[in-house]
Amino acid sequence: MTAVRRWNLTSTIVLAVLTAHVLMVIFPFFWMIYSTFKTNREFMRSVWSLPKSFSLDAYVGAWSGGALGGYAVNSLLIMAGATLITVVLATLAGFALAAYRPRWIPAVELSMTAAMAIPAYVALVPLVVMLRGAGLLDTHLGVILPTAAFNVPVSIFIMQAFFNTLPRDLFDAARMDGASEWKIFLRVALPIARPAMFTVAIVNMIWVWNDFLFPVVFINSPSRKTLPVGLTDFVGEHITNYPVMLAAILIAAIAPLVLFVFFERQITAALIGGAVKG
Amino acid sequence: MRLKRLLIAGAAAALAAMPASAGELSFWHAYAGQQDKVEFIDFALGEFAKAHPEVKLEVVAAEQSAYKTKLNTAMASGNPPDVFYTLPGGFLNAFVKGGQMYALDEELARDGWRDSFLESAISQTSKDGHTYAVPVDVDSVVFWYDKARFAENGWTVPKTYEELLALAEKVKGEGLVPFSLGNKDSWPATFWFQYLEMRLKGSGVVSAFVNGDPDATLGAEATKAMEKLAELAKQEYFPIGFNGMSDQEANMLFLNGQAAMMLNGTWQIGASADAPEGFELGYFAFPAVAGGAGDQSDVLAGVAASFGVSQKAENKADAVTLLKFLTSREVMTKYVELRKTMVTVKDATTETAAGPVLYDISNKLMKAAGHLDPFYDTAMPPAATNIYYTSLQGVLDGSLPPADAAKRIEDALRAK
Repeated sequence: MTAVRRWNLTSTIVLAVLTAHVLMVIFPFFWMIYSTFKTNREFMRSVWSLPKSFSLDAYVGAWSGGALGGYAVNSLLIMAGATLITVVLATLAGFALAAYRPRWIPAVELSMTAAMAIPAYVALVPLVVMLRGAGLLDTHLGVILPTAAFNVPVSIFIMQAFFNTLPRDLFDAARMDGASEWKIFLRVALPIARPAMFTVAIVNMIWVWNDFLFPVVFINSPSRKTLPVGLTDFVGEHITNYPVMLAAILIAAIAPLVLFVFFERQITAALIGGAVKG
Repeated sequence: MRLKRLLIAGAAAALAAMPASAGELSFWHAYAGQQDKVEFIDFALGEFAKAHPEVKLEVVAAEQSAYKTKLNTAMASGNPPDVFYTLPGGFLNAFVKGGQMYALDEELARDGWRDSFLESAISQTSKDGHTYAVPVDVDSVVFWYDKARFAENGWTVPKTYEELLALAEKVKGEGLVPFSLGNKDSWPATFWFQYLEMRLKGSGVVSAFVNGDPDATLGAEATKAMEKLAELAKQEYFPIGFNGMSDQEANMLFLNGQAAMMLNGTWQIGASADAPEGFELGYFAFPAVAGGAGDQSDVLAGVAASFGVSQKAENKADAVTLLKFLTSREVMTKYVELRKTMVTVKDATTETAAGPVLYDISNKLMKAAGHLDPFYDTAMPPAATNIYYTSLQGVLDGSLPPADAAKRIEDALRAK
């Protein structure tokens, strides 16, 4: 009897704590949604109050004034391009470093670590000069290439760490059977590496999607702006129309939200995996 | 396959983005991220296209803080836009030092262009006798309050610093915050220090440093000003956690009545447009400080923005045409009407465009001022500005003794 009672009490407490936690996490999102139905004046009077009437003006303002759809397409293009390049390079390099263990590995690792230590701000001016020379300033590719370059080292480390966990016998066996190195990579390594590649892809997608510095400096044309840059159009220095800004943020969150809903399990696994390996 | 398509798309985009050639001008500005700013620039550029269809503009806009990073990178990489928005003072002087700004002296001398500006404003975009940019708008700093609120509580506008402190005590007794302040971005608290320094020592202190005056000093008054500031924080006259609060958040406290007053720039008029019903914005001058050596009528007012032409610009004639158009009385009056900010062009801040509060400040307070002292933080070289900001934050959170803060700023100004 007592055991049952205690179980009830414990579970009640656990349930209460979890409910409180969920409410704390959910509330800002919920607040964001209902705030978008208020006018700026209502918002100024009281931040927490519920809207007096149901108005979609904020969404109309966000959508018409901001060209958010175009920004989203640009963000998607840059995200896809930079992630693709990074994943391909990191998988190839990670496999090579792990499977062949050349003697000069420490030199490669050191140079990659050194490259990772360079803050992006320091590289801005030389990058602009180089991009202008290549005619890539104010293009999507001009953002994709430097972004990939900055993300490749850490991605290689993740892939290398993964390939290191595979037994070398696996590759040796394939080699005995007469498979070429290229075939070993494609037929043996690649299928096993898919979870790790997913990790790298997800982490990169999040980084690239949220990046602000490179797009704001390298892109000039309004039609090529990415979402984070475009969203600053909604944040004024001294004056802000909060409902419109929140509506824009909600619209901008749709794409990552859809991505999350489809790949929830892989993303969670990737983030946990990345936390341990990174 | 996807990569290939991307490469092709990239190459096509690169071709489309060829740099401006003859007959074209690249124009960068920071009128973005805010409805009134966007409305102004849309109006100005629309009218310009009508008046000068022969000049093709390639316009790049970015929100203020991103804009600074973007412009600095472009300037440093030798790829400056032809015409661009720039802050006056230290920000502009860095470009002048690098030989990147085109001196507008000749053009300004022609057709009375120079005379159309307030002389005090044009001096803020000049260095060593040359003018490198044309000033656009002027912000001045005053105390803001809700008239209805004051009347309801029987509070009166203070004339002296002692009266201000007494009023603050009264407000605090009501359980309200006397002065709203959101100092996360470091500039809002500078108004307090600068006004105290202006009242205690006088105007032109930092300008003297910038102009290379060997006798320039903040004086012992700076320590006194810092002490007064530390006292205000100690008395809890500012909101809790003000060093981590943004100016916008502080403004919300003021507008919804949790704070009684706010020392802030004239942009407060625009920021109060969506105030709750019954809120009646009023202003009063920074009160006189007893025994202060400064002219007690002085006003903190500075040029907020200006437009310059790059030394590298190929088509300087068209660049100047654009500047002249932007600073014409018609465009500037529209600027006042849309942004509720004073402009540097004489007689453009009209009563109808400015509205009663701004016109009163422009016509009474500013005209009666002995001197207009530009913002210290923008006048200083950028390195000194950082030290100025961190020292002030230190004094406000009690981690830095007032005398040390004053010395640090003095040293930074001397180091140049």
